[in-house]
Amino acid sequence: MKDDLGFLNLVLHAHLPYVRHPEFDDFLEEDWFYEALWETYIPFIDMLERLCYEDVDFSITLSLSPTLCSMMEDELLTERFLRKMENLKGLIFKEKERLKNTAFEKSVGMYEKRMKKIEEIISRYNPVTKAFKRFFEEKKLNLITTSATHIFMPHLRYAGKANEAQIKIGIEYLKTVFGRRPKGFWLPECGYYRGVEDILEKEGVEYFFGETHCIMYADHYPKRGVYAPMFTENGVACFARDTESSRQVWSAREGYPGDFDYREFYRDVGFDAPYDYIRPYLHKDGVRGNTGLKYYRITGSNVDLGKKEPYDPEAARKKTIIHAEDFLFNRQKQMKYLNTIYNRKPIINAFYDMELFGHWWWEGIDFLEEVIRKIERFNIKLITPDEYLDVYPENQVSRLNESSWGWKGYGETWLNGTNDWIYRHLYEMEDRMEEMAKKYKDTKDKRILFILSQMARELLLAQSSDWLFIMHEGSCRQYAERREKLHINRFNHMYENLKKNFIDVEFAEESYKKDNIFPALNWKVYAC
Amino acid sequence: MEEEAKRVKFYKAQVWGQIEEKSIPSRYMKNRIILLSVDPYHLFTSWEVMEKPPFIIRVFDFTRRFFPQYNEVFSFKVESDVGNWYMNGKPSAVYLAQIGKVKEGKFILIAQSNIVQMPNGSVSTSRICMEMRKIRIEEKKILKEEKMEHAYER
Repeated sequence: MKDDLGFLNLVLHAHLPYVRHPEFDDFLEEDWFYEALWETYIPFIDMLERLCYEDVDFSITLSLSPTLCSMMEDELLTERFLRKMENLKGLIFKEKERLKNTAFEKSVGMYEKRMKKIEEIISRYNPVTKAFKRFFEEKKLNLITTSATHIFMPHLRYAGKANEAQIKIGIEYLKTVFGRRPKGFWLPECGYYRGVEDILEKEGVEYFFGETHCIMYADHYPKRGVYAPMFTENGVACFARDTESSRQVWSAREGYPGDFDYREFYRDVGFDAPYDYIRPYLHKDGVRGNTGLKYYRITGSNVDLGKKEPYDPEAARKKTIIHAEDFLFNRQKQMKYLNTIYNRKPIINAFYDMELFGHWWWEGIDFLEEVIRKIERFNIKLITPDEYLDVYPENQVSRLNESSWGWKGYGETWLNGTNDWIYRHLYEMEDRMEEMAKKYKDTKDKRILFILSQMARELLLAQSSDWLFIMHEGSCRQYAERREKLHINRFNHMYENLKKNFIDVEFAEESYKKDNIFPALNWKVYAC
Repeated sequence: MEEEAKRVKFYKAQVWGQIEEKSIPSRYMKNRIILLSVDPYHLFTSWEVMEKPPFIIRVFDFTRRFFPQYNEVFSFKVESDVGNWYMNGKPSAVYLAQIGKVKEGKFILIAQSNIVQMPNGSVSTSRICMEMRKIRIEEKKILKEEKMEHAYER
């Protein structure tokens, strides 16, 4: 500790919107979850296991969103995931024959190994949240969470108790799954606004994470830049993102994931193989799509998809070592410099979307593992925010700057011409929810209690920042719009019936069958 | 094969359609105006009014709130009873919007928005530095947690 140059605060944010469609046997958008599991979370668990087994000293922060956690806990989705994997295994088996003695053999072998790993991990941890619980208890993972359905808070701050309920329900849910309240909180999309710290403090949260200019543009000049946290006026600490370390990993152009030896994401056997051969492994609608098996490397900048060269897993693996060392070398140089200008050891806050590793950047988990293994050699210590606050409990205080880590650094992604029409509905729904919650605060009628909890579910799901994000991005836009409309319609239907004193519990039950998030949800947060 | 695939997709779409048959409400029968900051330079407003257009939207600058009169920054006429609009603003400023009608030269207020503080958008020139020490006592925290569990019962 004495010789350390500084600290690296590695924060991984794991989130997916709640997508679960029991009404269909096979649903395209559910794939987001299955892909995330086999490409990111299971290899991540595998990595944690290996590091623990080898007694490597580390602690990283994982923010697990309540929606993703609910999907991991859900039986139906787990069952479907296993079915999906069985199917994929079948394809790999056939591919092994088809691609024998070709340049793709090694890649097929890599997928085969991965499938075995999945079986192993699932046999030990089912649901997979069990694994996170284990590493949380062993203090290797600092598990925190975010708001219930990943609401973009700055834009709904004037909507009554919307943010308060989101935060409370999110934290409470994490506690029911993992047995402990988290000390930290991940603001969805790093969306900070003045006043959110008051809610966080009430919930016992000690720190949260912000974008660089959350601290840099605070009302007072930050004397240690983003290399120390800043307290808000009520003493909740904000750790802000370091731009250098994020660009190196995030950027597809300048960053590591764009290396020519790494696997190409967009060339999938689902598009390449003969249609009749691949048909059983596609979705039931039969439209060509990703199967997950990709055999090519990025090859070069601006190389046409058709001209990509075969992927070599070993060469890619070697690259991850080089990149991990480069990453640490650069952090070391950064820290050496920071030590000359500040009178305390710097903390470098590196935040990433968990899905970057494994899903978008296939070799990303290997990279992470190398970083964790090698960090000590570079005289850097991995630290969690609570540990840091124990080392340096004194920090500067200021009023922080509203910001987000989205496009342009503020709220435009979630409020622009493509999605602004949603806000008046969200504001109105919040009013209606509070009206009904107050009206039936003391009711004993189980049917009304059930309807109110389903109304709260629909409201929460409509508030997801994901739908707004997708509408802005353009792909899968129809799905996002449908989801918004669906939740708004269901919610208003229940509200209007309740207002007419017509108690239609069947409709609420039917909705619950589809969207069963937070079974123990407490809607009374809307009533106080 | 591909033909059949299309048919399945069509069927799926129909099922979806039934669930969300209704279109979402166009009006909530309420007078309301919301004001939000998009970034340090842009404001967004959304309104619904239960009267017939036209209306006037006035935006006030509240930044120096001790001035005898609040500064009206600008106002504009809108021709619909439900709508959204984007406006320019200044970093760190505080705004408020009103929607109303003009009758006999007088502004008649229908609804007033929340107050918005814009993000700073640049590094502060203030070199004042306050430090805070946070004492973290486990015992105190445990007490706090117990108290909260009662307030948030299941």
